Parts: sequence; structure tokens; C-alpha cells
Amino acid sequence: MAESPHPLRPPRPSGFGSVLVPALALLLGLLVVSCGSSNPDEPSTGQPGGTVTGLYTLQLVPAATCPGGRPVTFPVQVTETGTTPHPGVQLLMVSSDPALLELELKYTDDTLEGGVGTTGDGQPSAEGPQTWVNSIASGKTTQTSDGRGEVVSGVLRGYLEIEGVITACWSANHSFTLRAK
Amino acid sequence: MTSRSWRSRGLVAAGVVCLTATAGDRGMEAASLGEVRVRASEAFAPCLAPALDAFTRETAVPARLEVKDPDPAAGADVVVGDDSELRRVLEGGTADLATAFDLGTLPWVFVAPESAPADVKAAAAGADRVAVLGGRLGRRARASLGRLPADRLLSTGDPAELRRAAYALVPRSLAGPGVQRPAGVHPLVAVAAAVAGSANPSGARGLLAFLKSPRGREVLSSCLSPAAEAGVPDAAGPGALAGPTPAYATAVIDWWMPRCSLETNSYTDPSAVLGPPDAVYLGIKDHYTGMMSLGEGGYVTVDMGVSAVDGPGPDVRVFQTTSNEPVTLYAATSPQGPFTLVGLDVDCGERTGGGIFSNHCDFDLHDAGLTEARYFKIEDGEIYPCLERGTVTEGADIDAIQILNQKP
Repeated sequence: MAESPHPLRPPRPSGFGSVLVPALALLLGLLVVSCGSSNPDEPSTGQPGGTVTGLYTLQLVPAATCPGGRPVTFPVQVTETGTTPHPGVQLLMVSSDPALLELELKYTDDTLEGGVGTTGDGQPSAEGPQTWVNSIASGKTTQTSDGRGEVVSGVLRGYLEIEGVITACWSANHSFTLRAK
Repeated sequence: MTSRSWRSRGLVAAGVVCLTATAGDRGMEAASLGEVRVRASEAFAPCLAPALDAFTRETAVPARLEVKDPDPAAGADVVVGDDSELRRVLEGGTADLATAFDLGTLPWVFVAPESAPADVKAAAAGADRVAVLGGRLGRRARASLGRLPADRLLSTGDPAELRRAAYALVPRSLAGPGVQRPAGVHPLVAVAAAVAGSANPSGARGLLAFLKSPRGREVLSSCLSPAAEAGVPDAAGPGALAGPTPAYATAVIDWWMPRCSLETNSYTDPSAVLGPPDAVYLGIKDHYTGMMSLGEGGYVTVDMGVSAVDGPGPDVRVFQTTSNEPVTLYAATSPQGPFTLVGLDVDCGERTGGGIFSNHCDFDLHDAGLTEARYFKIEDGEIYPCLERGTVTEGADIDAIQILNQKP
């Protein structure tokens, strides 16, 4: 049987002795190797770091002090940017106007940190409500099983407003996640 | 109503007040200047209308007031708005920074029935619904209501709706009947400027000169408070609070800005924040000296050479050059940190005066639970998407950092 490219992924069930099953597994393995992970819930290994690139889901979670707040999410595409004066990444919305929600983050010491900004027009979330954010995100990355970095628990400091959910709310205790897709 | 629909509604419902010229000998000459088109947001329109009326009466130059977001400024000759509203048009050069000046300040008031509790938060908590000015102008006001759920806030830019509301948190110019109480929100700062490339530059200059004159100030005073009375300028300038030997940043420890900002901003030298405030606008669009534009979420960390202590009043001052772009300040006793948050997204637009071009904002170490600090990290609080930029000075523009209470 072809070995999984993800050493920490659980082993496949045994007992399938036919030729077809290993062949399909091999094909699947090749697809995974060639295309990268397509699993939207890529398991985290808990190891710090990882390469932050590709498709992710950004979730913004209002602080408890912002009454009635509930999270909103955005599909984002991440690319690595320059290394001067520190390495960084850029996150853009997967949409027709990607720059309306833009994250420009420094990536050093297994930590992503930098600005999350919308214009005054805001940006609709995947759940629907229009969202306005001008905050600093900061979070440690951990590796998924395919070696990509993601933030499972990060802090978001600054301004957040979600249409019909929370009114203008500044806090040093909003939070965010950036999960690999 | 949401901020987005507020904006749409504001555009749809934009009112136009036409002020007609008075014929006369002087009028025949002045009318050759043509109509002056003035654009101002809902909050300032009620203040401007009588001033424009007086201008037209006394100079015979017609002035037309368009009630609309002053950004974008295209199509207007003069724009009037809060510091935050004009930030991008002045930075981007759509309006001429060299012509900009403060008209005065406009306080926020909480309007409530006479029977409501005197305390604003208690009164708001007892209201079925509180109307608040929508859009970016109302951000700080909406946030000031704290724990009030979103479904009990009516966020709107419609002046009639705001005036009708039994409970409202509004600039004084938009207050309806009811008892007005101080709202505890920093007042709006009305700024006027000529639009670059205006079709009527001489008319724009004439109107600005009128608004700046004692007569113009007199008319505006029925609505706006003079900036000096509101305590905005610090005429004594830097050093007034710091004693004879003010301490400024001496070395850059670290800095960062996104590549996008590095590629597009013109002022990216972190050493520009060292020493006393010296930023200058050179009178030509986008030409400054002596400041660092932080870009989207960028920062600079400095060593002050000496320590600040938690003393009477504020302990640290940040000089920021353009309008009231917000900054976040962290402090530490070691260059490696840990850095403790002192102030988050503080509007940095207090007028400095004393010949200093930059504005400033002050911070108190006490707010961070610190007794002293020597290293400060100054971070952009505007966090505007870099790819949507319209200027070469994106992010807070840092001129200098000063210790106000120095460790003996």
C-alpha cells in the first residue's frame, strides 16, 4: 500500500486485499502530493511553525465585552511577501474585490503579527453581515499534517464592527483563527 | 440602519442648500468669481449654512452647500469635515493641505427626555433604542455606549431621524428636542480646505478667507466652539510639560512595515522619528520631511535613552503629522520586552501649536499598570488596506516621541 504523505494521518483500515483498493489509494496519494492538502479540516500536529501559504479560512471573534458578538469568517488566499526588514505574508479575500479585506502580517519566530484592515465600505462575511475591521492580529502558528502553518488561537487588538451583530467595539481582546483549507 | 446603508442613504438623500447672490455694485464684480461649491457632511452642514449665507450676502458670491461625505472631494471647490473625514483627501492631495485650517470643534451631546437619568449610560440603558450618527464619524460615539446591544442602536446618517429620536447620541448640530447632556465623546474637529484642481480656485480662496476672518468666526460660533476653548491647541508646544530638558527618542530598536507599504510609501526611514518634532510639509503635494509613515499595521520601536515614570498627568507624547491618524503605544523596561499595551488606537490629532507642524497624542503609563518604561513601540492604528491606498503616506505618520515625566 502506498504510504501516506502525511505521517501523522491515521492508518487506513486493513482487510482490503483487492488490487483495486491499493491502486485507488496510490492515485489518491499522488493527488494529495501533487495538489497539496484538499482537506478543509487539516489536522494540526501541534508543532510550531509551518509554511503559511494557500487557501485559509479567517475567523474573527468579537471580545466578550462586545455584547451579542458572534464570529464571522472569510475565505482568504495567503502569499508570502518580502523579507525586509522581516519576512511577511499577505492575506487577501477570495472575492471579486480581494483588497477590500487585506491582512499584511509579519512572520517571525513562528508568530504571525500585523494589520487586518477594511476600507470604510467594509466587507461582507461568509455568513452575510457586513464587517468592518481595523486591528492588529497576533498569533503563534502550528503545523498542519502537510506542513502548512495555521493559527488556532490568536489575539486581535483594535476595532471591529459587524452589521446587526455588534456595534463599533474597540478591544485588545478580540480573537481570530486562521485555519488551513 | 447600518453604516453601509447609512452611506447609501446619505448619498441618495444628500440635500443641497442653494444660497443666492444679492445683486449690488460689489456683487457684480464678485459674481464674476462664480459659484463656490462647498461639500460637508451632515454634522457640519447646519453650522456652515448660516456662514455661507453671510458670505453670499456680504460678498455677493453665491455659495452652494452639498451635504455629502467630503471624501471624495471631486466636483467641490471647498470641503469641510472632521479631521478623520478629510484625512485621505488631504493626505492624497485631492484637497490642498496648505489651505487647510480648523474652523472649530463640535461637541457630542446625549439627547434624552427630561425624566431620563442624568447619567448618560444609565439613560441609554433605559432606552428602547438610541439613535447614533452612523458611518466612521460615529465610531467613537457608538463605542462609547459600551454594552448596549446592536439591536437597540439605530445607526443612521439621516438628520431628520436623529432629531426625531427620543434618545440620541449626536453632534450638537444634529440634536433634536430634549435635554442635552455632555456625552463624554471627544468633539469633532471641523477642518476646511480648498480642493486641488477646483474649477473656482479664487472663489474657494475667498470663501476660506471669509471663514477664517473675525466675521466668519462670529457666524460659526453659534454652532462651533473655537478650538482654543475646547483645549485643542497646546500653544506652549512640546517641552511645556517636560521641564527644561525634554527627552526624545534616541535610537531605533526595531521596525517593520509590510512590503506593500514599503513599496508605495515615500517616508519609510525609521530614523525620522528620532529627536524632537521636526516634520514639515513643504507646500507641494506629498512632499514632507522628518516623519515616518508606518503603513498598514507597521511599527517602530525606540529607545528613549532615559526612562519615563508614571507621574502627574500623561507620561509620553507621540507626535503624529497628518490629521488624527490613530496610534497604539506599548512600553517596556527592556529592549526585548515584554511590551505592555499602554493605549489602543488612540486618535493622534491634538493640535500642538508653538510652531510645531505635527499634532500629538498623550499616554499615561498608569493605564498599563507600569511605573516606568524606557522602550516604546509605536504601531499604526489606522490599518487601512494597503492595496486600496490613495496616498504615499499610508498609516500613522510618526514625527517624534517625547517623555513628559522623566525618571530623575
